Amino acid sequence: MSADRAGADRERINEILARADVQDQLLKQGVDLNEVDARVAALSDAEAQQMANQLEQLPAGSGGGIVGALFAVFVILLITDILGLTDVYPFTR
Amino acid sequence: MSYLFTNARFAGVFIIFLVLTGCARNPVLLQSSYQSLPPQEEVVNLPFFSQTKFQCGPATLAMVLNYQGVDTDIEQLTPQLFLPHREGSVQPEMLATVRRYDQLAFPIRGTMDALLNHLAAGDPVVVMQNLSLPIYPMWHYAVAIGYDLPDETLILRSGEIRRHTMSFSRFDATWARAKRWGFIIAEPGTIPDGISARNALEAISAYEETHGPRAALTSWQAFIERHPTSAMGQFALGNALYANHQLDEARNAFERSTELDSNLGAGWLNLGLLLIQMEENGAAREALAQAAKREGSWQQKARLALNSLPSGT
Repeated sequence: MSADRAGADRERINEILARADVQDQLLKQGVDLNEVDARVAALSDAEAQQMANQLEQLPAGSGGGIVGALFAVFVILLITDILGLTDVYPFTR
Repeated sequence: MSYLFTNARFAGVFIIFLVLTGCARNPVLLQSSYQSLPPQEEVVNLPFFSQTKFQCGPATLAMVLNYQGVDTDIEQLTPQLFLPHREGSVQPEMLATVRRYDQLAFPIRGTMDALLNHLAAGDPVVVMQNLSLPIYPMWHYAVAIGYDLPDETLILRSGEIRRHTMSFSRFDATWARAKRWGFIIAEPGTIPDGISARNALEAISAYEETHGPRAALTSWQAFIERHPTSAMGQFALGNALYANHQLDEARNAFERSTELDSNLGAGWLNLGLLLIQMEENGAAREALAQAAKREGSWQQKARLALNSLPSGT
């Protein structure tokens, strides 16, 4: 009976810690202090856990071009573009 | 010059590598899709927001939200989901931001067939792509708005291009590198065609977490209309009906959930608690006893409720 109660409490604490962690990480990523609370609150529990555990690894969609890439990288991506494997350079289409 | 030569050789080796690893890819669509889908489809009236700098996340959301009649733009969305130091937006916050505008975000099944079927049904799909290669990723969000089957091309609102056409195979290669992630947005009470029961449950539950069970009621009703035999769905519907003070309907839904899955302890518990409130102590006792004999977080609450009932009723 008490074990069950402790289990529920632990879950709740993990949840709070996850959200506090996400808050820290968003601040570190340069998110405005005024926006952080609302952004954390908007996440579901599962999303908050995901953000807390792996924000660094999550891909961040930006759509920015390849800037300052090595020439070798440029050549490879040019070829993969022509082969129809990637979509990096507009002029290959 | 020798630098150029080294790179050219590198590229040559790379091409050989591609050939050896079997560039001949499987067809991206099932044969049955060619027969069942209309040849062309395009959501032409989806507004276009050209991405500024790295804001493809805010731009794609601006497009699909405005298409749903929500008035917003890139400037408003950027502080809500852009990560300045990452120069991009992550998937959980894409979904969370949709909900901040009182819309639901439904993940789709990650196949070209599913994607085209959604487009054929008139639902634009936000997709994530890696436009580049895994070693040098270039993550990107775009909105798939249509396709041309005979031409084998997909049509997207993407980046700074209002109508970007791309062969199925090229798109699928870039999409596959982002694990074929995509979602559709819809207003509460609506579930887009072709969304799996599991993905719909996930989307509505997430909406309920941030908006409360009453706000999710119409969505649970739509869910049960489509999946009447989902025990979890009936249970969730019961909670939403209860929150909306529709006690008789809530009771029906909880009863239905335990009929569909007699091991649903939470369903038995809520049914029992509701019956206590309705002053049907005999029936309440039976339901609570069912909850109390099944392992889970509901067990202790069921026992407490049982003990609180006057004996012999």
